[in-house]
Amino acid sequence: MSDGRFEELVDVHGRNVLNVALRILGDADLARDVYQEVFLAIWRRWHQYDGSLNWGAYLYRVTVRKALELARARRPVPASPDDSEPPSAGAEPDMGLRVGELQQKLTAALARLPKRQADVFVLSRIEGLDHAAIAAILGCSRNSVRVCLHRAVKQLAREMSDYLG
Amino acid sequence: MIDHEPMRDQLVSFALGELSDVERVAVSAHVSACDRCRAELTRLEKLLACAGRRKDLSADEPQYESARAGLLAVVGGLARPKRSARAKAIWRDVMEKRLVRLAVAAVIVLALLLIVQQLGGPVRGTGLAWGDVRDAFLGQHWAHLKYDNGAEQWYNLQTGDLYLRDWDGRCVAVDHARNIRQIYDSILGQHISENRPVIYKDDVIPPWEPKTAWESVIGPWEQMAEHGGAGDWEVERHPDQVGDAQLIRFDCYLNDAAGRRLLIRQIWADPKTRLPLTVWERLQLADREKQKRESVTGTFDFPETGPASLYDLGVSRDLPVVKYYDKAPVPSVEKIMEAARAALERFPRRYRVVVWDNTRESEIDVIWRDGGQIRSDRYFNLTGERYAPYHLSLPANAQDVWRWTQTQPPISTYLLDGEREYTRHYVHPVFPDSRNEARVMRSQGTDLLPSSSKPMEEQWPYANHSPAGFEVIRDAPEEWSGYIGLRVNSADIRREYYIDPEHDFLCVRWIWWKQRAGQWEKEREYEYSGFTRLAQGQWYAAKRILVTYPDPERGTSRGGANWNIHVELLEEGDFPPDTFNGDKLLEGAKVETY
Repeated sequence: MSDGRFEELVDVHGRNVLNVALRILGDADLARDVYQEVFLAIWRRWHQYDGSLNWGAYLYRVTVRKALELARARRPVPASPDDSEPPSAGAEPDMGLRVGELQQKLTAALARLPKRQADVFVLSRIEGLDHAAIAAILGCSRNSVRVCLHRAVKQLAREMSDYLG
Repeated sequence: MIDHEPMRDQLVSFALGELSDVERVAVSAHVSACDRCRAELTRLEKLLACAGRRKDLSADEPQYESARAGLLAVVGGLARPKRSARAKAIWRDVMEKRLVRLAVAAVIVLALLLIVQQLGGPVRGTGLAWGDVRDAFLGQHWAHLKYDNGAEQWYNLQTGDLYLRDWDGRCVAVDHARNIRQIYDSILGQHISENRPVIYKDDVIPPWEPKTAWESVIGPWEQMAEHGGAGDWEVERHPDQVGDAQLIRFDCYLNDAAGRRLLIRQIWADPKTRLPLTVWERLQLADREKQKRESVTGTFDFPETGPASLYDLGVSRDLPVVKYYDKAPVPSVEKIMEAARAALERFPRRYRVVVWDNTRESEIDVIWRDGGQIRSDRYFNLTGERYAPYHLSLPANAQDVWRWTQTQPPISTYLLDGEREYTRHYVHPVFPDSRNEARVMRSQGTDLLPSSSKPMEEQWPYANHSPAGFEVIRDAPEEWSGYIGLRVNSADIRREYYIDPEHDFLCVRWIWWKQRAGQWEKEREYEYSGFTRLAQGQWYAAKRILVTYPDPERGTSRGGANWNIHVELLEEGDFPPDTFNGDKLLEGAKVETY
């Protein structure tokens, strides 16, 4: 593959990689770290790739993994008022803080899930992909996706029960 | 007591929207009666809503651009990764990056002559004269390589353009002259991506030197065999007796990560015909698994024509084209004029041009050019019943026009033979005043031929001006976006040129303005269109329109003219006898020399 294709790969998939990382981590700086790490890893092994790789699927997989790795390695920080989500109209006075905190708890809980369950949950509930697409990305059956998703939802609900009211 | 664990699964399915209507009603009924399950469902829905809210999060454009720039800066600072050992990539790299460029034509011919001698004299062996061999391979237009797995590659030896269609449907087209590469790869999405394969200094694309198939395909391997391989590759050259033929074989080895020396590619060429014949390539692991084969074999042929676009490779015309490059910055006036002069210089000098107007009966020119020799014969297409023998029905195509002129007496001929300029008029049956007269002038360096004799030069009307006084137009109307505008003012006259940098810097519009009572008004404008590409890659405008605007001072009204232009490239022997023979032209004419 030529170097021009690397830049093209970045142009075609870069936004998605950055956005996936941002949606998992909820932090633009961390998302940028993931974006850079994902593409640098590819660049370093650029000569090993060939035309048979489905880049879209591959990048989904590695981005979710990298972002969750970062989330696992990260120490929990208290919610801050400038968290990425504004309070919704008509919310209770403390909802802004509360929603941000809830999101952080979700990231932390995701980081503690078994990897496959976390992958499936992110791709299904955050990325909005259907089971067939997730199965193609993760290289497993649709039934396996369904089972993992159920387990992930139950586990997350259990872990976050204090925050979900 | 109800066992809530199965119900919990149902609640998850309910929250995830997986249940049928019947199941939903059943679960709803239970939830409305069970506080515990209602609380659980609320928690699940909050969890999913919390996750779902993230769907809307996305980086804004500055954030993305900053991340991209940061990444590419880091990548730029790293050592370039070693090239893939994948055999097919060798070809691509050779073709796309043109790792090895052979020098100017004279050096190439000399080098080939030496190689021919070293190889034991194919010229002697075949009984062919050296000139025959050379002519044969200089006439090649395309090298085409077809693999037994369905992949194909076409390489335009005259223009440097490259087309690939891989076994899996991936298609690539590289336009050297425009420095554009188009890729269709279903993995990258249902669109055609377009980028610039090479970054040239000052954005000036160097002209392509036409190459022979040997230079393009075998040249790089010869270089590597003689001067050492590239990266982890080594190339060896061996004589190889195949049947009765004494061929040359190049073996390409990869020194792999495990310290083994793997034969990954072989290519056979015939030194007598100076043509590559066959390639063998070992596939990489992923390709071996996907294609269920160890290697592929490709065979060369050298067709006259090849694809002209990605669409000719089977890519749908309905796909959007996504450009992954910024518009090139506008170069300076000097650079623009330099590029135009280079394009003019590159334009072939051996051709026949037919110029006619398809909208009305008028004069028709047939122009012959061979280097510095130019001849222009003018004919008249006449209307009216009594002039029927001199009438050509319009619209007509170039071939019809050319055939028609061969049945007609010319009105006049202009000839420049390199030393003298001739103007010859003939007696024409329709025009009673016509006479057999001729005028001969010694060429004074600048010829006095009418501009119609040089329709090609007319396409770059700004090229031979001094850049002084010219400025790049910064406030061009929206319709000219994508073009470069040049403006020059002198007293009450202004000329504007709009130039297409993607088509050899041809002028697309040339507007003359005149200042009247403090207002700039259009005096006339030329529009160039119908850009057509010659086999050697150069562009020309096949249509030119002139519009003249009313001039109250001179009392002229709106007018104009249309020209269709067709260029036919010729070889040395294609000119009719005496085309550029001045003495012959003067025969039977009263000659004036002063």
